Amino acid sequence: MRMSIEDQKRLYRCLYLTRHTEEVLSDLYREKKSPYKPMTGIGQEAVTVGASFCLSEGDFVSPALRELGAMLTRGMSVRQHVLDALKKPESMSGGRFSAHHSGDISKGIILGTYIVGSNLPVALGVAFSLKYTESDRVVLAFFGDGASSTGSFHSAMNCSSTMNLPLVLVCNNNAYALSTPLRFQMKTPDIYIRAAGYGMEGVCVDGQDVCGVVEAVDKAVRKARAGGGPTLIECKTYRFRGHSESHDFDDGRPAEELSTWRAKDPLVIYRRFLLSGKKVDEKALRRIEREVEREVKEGMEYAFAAPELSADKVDMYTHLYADNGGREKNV
Amino acid sequence: MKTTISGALRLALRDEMTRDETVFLIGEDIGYYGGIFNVTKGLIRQFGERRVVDSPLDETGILGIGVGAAISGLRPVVEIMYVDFITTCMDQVINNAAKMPWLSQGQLKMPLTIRANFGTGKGDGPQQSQCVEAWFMNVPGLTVVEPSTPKDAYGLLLGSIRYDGAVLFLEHKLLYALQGEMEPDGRALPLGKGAVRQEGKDATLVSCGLMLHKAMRAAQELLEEGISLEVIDVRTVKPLDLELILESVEKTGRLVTVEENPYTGGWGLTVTDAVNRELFGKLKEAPLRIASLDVPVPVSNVMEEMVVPNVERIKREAGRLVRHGKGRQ
Repeated sequence: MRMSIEDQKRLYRCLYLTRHTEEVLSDLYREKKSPYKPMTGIGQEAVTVGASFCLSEGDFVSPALRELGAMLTRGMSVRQHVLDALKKPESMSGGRFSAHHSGDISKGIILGTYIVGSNLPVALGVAFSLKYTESDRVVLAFFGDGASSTGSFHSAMNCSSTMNLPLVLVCNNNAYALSTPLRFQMKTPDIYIRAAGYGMEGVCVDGQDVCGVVEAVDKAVRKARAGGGPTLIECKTYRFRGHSESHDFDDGRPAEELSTWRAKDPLVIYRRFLLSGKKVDEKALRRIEREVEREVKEGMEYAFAAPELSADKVDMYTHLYADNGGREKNV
Repeated sequence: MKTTISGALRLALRDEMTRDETVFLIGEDIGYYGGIFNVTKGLIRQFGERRVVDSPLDETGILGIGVGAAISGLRPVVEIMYVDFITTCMDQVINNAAKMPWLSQGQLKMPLTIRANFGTGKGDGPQQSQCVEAWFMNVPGLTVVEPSTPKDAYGLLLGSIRYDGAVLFLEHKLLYALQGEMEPDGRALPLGKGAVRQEGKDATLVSCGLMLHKAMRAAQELLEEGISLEVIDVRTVKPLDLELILESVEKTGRLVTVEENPYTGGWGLTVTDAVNRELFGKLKEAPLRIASLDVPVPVSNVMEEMVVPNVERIKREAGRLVRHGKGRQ
């Protein structure tokens, strides 16, 4: 993808917005000022933001767990995310579902699920719809190394390839399924090589380098749009924090490994890249960061001040059953 | 016209696919082969491979395509070859299909119909003969439909496809060849409405599917012995038409459910619970449930016949309830 200076600044903005939002929410949780326990993608933003950045209006994204970056890049507001996190009446689900898996189909964000891997067959189905209606839109689906062991992953790979569907499968390989390292998960450290067995193109990129992620995903998106079928893109990355913010940073991962990866911070890398091009200066980046910080602050303030759910106003049964079925309640 | 249940189902699929371009079929061997019980035979020649999709042998993939297509504007009719195979894709059915509309506050619709054959009677054994309605009754958001006549099969399938929520549409494999009068008039039957198949005054038999036909036989034979039974076909197992059932039991004072599923935890418990709760003081006898034994379905026809309620057993137990009370052996 040829990115203009404006595109590059916008991409940096999305990266910083994701990082800053998650850091603020994590700090609030650790200071016991917020009940919301984040499960962050800090360290993985180049993958979640970079891949989502390749989509256009009308495309769909299917987040897995650590994909706040995908939601924000697709246009979900920080305010909305924090409303979801705090389970407010104004949340997308009205208090029925987790902010980690929140969706907004009007922005092309497909509602997620707690079940690891389970979003992939759903993304497959949306891709089926797009081919059925002869649309040139595509679906981008995220999953982790953990999900690559599930049958759902196999289903999405085999069906999308056999049916030649417009699906781009992006693996956030952060080397751990909760606490389980790759050596307990699979025989080979690489996931992208499995694509060959499905007759699909498999690509591996450095998940800390947003330029590389954008290049690979953009190519796959264009291919899918043109009717060329699915692609598996494995992004080697790393989670800088614990599984969730209630898990200690010292969760069994070797300290040396952690520090090696922390030295490959995707935001630092991209910042350095932008500055080295001489077309964006420190001042411009600081301006973006201050703008983002203000947006996050305003979003937080609004969401924390928003009314709480009250039991007497809860609408429990609406939308459990469709309204064209001749009944209102379960029996 | 006179046709079979499988013929009526095929007509419903044909009519709805003709009427609505967003309706498509996907499943194992449903295209050129025509489906394991020939329900979709010929449809691929009429509608092509785009709308009648022969899928890989992968229920999770089939259901995933169903769920994803349903939330993005299509009306999928997916076929699970034998309902027992649904165990391999329960995640999609229970965690996604049933919940997404509620979790999204209606932003997502789930016009998904899952067709599957089920039931005993063919010696198909423990993983190809199960009667699974009760598994799904405990899942808020799902609707479970079970037709017992060609007319109902046609109308209920149209109703299921047009409904904006997830429906499990169960077809008893011994009933596919059952003949009856119906008109392919494009009219859907409402979901959640039962039907009184025979009026009576001594007890109310509540059933569905194949067991409904056994209950009817038993009721007709008992009539000759002077016992008059009202027979209700629930048609939709979830939600149950409790209004119709309660009205009938209030009149007869006795309730018998006739179920093909294993006794413990069977769908009839929802009926007896409602009857006990609403009509306790008005009952002449405690409700009686006739169901399969609490064992897997064996392949031996001799053993299968012992496991599943038959006409003799229904006659014996329902007759005893009316004559002497205490229908249980």
